Amino acid sequence: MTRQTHRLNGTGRRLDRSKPISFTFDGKRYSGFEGDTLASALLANGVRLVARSFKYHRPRGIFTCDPHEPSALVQLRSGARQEPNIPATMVELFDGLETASQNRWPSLRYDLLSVNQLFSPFFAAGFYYKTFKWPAKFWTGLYEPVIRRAAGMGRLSGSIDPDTYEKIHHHCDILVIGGGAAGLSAARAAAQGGARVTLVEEHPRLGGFDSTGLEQDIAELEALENVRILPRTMVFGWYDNNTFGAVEQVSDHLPVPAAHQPRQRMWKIVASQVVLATGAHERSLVFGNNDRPGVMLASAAERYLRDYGVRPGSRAVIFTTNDSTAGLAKALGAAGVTVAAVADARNGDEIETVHGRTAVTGVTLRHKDGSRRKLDCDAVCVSGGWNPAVQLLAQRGQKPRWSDGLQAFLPQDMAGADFLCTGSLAGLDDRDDCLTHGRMAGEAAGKRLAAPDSANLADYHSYLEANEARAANFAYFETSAGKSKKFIDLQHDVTAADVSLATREGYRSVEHVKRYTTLGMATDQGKTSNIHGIAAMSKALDKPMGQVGTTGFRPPYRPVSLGALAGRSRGRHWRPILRTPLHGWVEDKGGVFIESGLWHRSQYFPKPGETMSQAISREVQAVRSSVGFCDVSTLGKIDLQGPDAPAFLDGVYSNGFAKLPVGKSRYGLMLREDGIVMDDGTVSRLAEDHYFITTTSAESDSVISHLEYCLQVLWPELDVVFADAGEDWAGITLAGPRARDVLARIAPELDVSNAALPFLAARECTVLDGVPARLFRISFSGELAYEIYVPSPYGRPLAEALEREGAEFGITPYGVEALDVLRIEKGHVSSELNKFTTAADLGLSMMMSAKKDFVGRALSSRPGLTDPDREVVVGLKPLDPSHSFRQGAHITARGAPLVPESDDGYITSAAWSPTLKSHIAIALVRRGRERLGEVVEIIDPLHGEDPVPATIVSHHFYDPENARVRS
Amino acid sequence: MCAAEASPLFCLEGLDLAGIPAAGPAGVKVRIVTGTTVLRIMPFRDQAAAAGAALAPFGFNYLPSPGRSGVAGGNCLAWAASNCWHLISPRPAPALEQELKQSLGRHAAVSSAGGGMLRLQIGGAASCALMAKGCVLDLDRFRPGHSAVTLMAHTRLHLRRCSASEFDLLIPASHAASLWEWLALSAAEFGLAVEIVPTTQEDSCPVSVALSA
Repeated sequence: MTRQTHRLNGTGRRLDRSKPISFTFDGKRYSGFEGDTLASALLANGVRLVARSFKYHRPRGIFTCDPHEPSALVQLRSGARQEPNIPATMVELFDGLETASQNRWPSLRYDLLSVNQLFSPFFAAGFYYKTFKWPAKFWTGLYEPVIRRAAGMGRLSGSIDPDTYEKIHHHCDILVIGGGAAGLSAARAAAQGGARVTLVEEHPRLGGFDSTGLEQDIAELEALENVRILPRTMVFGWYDNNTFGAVEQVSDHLPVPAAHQPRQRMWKIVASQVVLATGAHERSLVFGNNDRPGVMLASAAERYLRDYGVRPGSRAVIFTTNDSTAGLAKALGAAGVTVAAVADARNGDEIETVHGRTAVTGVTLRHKDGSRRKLDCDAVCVSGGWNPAVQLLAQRGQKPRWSDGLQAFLPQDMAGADFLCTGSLAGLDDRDDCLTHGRMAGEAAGKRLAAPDSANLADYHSYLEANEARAANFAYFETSAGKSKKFIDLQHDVTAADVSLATREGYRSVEHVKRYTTLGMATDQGKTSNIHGIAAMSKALDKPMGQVGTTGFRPPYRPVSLGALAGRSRGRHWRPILRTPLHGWVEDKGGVFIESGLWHRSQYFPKPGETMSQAISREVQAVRSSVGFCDVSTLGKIDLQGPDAPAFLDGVYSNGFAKLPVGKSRYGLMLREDGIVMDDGTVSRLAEDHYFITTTSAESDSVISHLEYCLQVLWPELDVVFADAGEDWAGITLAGPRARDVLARIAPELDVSNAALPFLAARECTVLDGVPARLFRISFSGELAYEIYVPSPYGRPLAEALEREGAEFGITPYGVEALDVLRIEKGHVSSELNKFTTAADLGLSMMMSAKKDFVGRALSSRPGLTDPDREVVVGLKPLDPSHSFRQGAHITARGAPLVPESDDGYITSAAWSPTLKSHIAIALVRRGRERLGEVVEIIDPLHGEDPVPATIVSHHFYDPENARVRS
Repeated sequence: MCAAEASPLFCLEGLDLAGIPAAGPAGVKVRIVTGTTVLRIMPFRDQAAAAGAALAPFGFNYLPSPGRSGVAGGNCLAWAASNCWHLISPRPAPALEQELKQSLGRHAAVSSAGGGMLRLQIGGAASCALMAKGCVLDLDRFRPGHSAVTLMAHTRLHLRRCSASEFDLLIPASHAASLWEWLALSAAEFGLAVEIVPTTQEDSCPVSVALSA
């Protein structure tokens, strides 16, 4: 284990020196203390080189003390928890933490890909666009993989993340974003007015850059019951209706999450008012080799000294443009660091270049008079001023405005109807100013809750205006002379020369330059650097900074893990699983489930040793020869009541219902307004003003919505009510020649004879000795069949009773596969209702009433929908019954060339028919009904299968006379 | 034939209902209430007031306004959707349904919804924290006596607040297993105690909030 050579004695108020911590970096063991970040601990151990840059593989060190660190990206942990591209500055140290550098080979110090630097003259902006153009087949096969490998970042483990993530909803009156001095003051003032206040801070502790003197404020705030403080939580997006997305790092600072705790939690926060106290980001400066390990933001150096007891080096040079570095020289001196020079750009001094390769060894200063001086040093602290963190506001469409006084982009509006800005975001840099104005913002937000216009913002605005009017800030956007690389964007290796090239090549918009050069497109989104790109454009285009403007900012403010966005919706929970009332029974019977939309439906019930196709054929044959039953609980069910129900149904369905007698069911066809078939199902009249409607499983929700639309918009005068009864009833189809025998046993009080209970009869009755039921003699299989509906809790008892009472007849449960085969044999349309077909296409023209109006009637007669060339439903039988074809295969005339013009339609349903001992299909074929008997070819280029000759036949393969359903 | 017995927990078959132990008292206590009758009341056009008045035999004089619920005589009457209210009762469904139909006459349609709903009562010190993980409502504003049809963990359900820490949920049976798994995972950090109880007069969530017209 190495010594902490750069750790100071006695300082570092965030540290608990009684708790040493051991961790590794690139396999080497180091020590730190509780309270350290990985960055502070590495610096304490004298580790300067921690990363390689994205494109040129240049050596990089730790540049900031913030989450938007551009250089020191590392890989955390190992195994399934391995996580790449994490800024070392935001990693809270814990005992046993494994970390590694990334994007280097074979080692961080000797990275062979650093050879890229030699080719850097060729790797200028737009290099890829200009170079890798030909041949096209190399784009994805060669160029992209090679470039990605060379310019890659860290790697994921490839294993499933073992941790959990969750989401939470939170509502508050006032959301304060940022826990610095201004945010603390605003939160406290707002809370004292009685509001529910939530304060969100992305760092583990409140207080901002320097919490000295704020301890009492923090303690008092934490004691308030109406304040909720969310540390380690980053607001990444501001959405409509003041909804905010935030991610809480619940367990990232722990080796593994505590029991039942998520790794991260995503907060959806809705606030009436928001106070933005998002602070400011310190700017870098552009000079030769400004990326060398040892070059660091001045505020970072100060915080490492103060908060972590770490000195950035032994001999430092400060390069500054502003007064925020005033205390740094003293702090460095107090820590025993020699300040070799302070180059203040305001005096005309600058750093021309940094010396050293994997660490700073010196600088060349250039003075106002043009003289140069070389100095030895091992640390360079830079401050180019401060950029207010306007990103969240810009997400709402604000265009930040340039302030000449502050020399910075400020919020376009400092206050809106539901937000207020304060602190450094609003251009304040003095602690007292932040506290004072924060209080104003908090009080104003509190008053707005009571009455939106009650807050007088005159003082609030005048405070900021006076501050801006006083300001005469100095900004330094010059680029030093010399040949060394001068980086604007450290993370994406974008240099001043790249921006200059982009403007020379004609790019005028900051958005275009961003994309051409990739400036600000990395994970840090250019928070320390973008301003220099804008300044370079300003200079090159001779346009004021304000006219160049900033790029747009979109969520997320910082990268958000996909796990946090997914929450619990992952794996088998990625969407809800819907179960029918018979689910448990199907499981007990060894049924195989299939996902059908959200439903888990019984697919088939294999017997030991059976294949799927064998099981399906057995189930089909059982229905055809004796009796079977099938769970149809997924069908949509609607309870319709009211004196105007017949008129309502007449309007909704294309066929008539006004004359449907009580006690009868009828097949119904529903069209969309545009004349296309929307859904089919059955309508059963239980009483004069009471109907029970079934819909297809897939369309039940859309049919309910459609009925609501019809009632509320088309016919509000009709006196009807309806309810979605889909959950109320378990449904089972009992089908087969012996179905009546079984029905008689479960409903002994009911006369089930053909005369008393004919085809399409509908009854309310009891089954199983007193269970209320709805019974409809409806057939989807083409056999004598009944649909039996019982209250959902009786679904399983009904299945068990059918199994028991039907045993004598060999009753067989069947799944949706057999159900489909049965309906294909019978020629019932199902998947043919594909949002493109009309009633005529489906062979259901007789269901288009000419005696009444209905939804879709007018537009169903459009020329396009009545074109005789349309594809219509027919059947297909292969010349050789053993030849199979699939759903989706296309139909051509025999001998027709395989060109799109030859396409005569496609197969919509296909199956092996155990009844007909042949493969069969239902298809939509151009002018199909005129072509019955024609031999066509079934082609399936997608599966590379040989064409199958087949005959066009009627799609009613089985019992076309409909005798069996009436038997 | 013998009379069939309903499967009251059919929608949770195969799931672990044992709860999750905590170091101390469970922060979340869930009661799975079986046998509750839920009847939909859907007034016909311009009949809402008359329908409300016709509910006098059940202890109610009017239908609660949207977003509200009330309790009387062991029954709960809760707004459940546009022009739809739920009468939630421990009484058996068939008899209650007939009685309700007779009282309402031509004023409103009645349909039974209870068979397709799983009823959960969620309480305990951490009940609000659990609810916030799935429920989009502002729970500080959703007060005792309030009723909403809302989304929770992808599931559209009927939610009532009974007290500061008690919520009553009617969950579509088809979604119940999925929601239960979410609930168990989400409540684990607080500890989860589960109780399966038959419905009683007392569990209709006594809410000392007057119905608002």
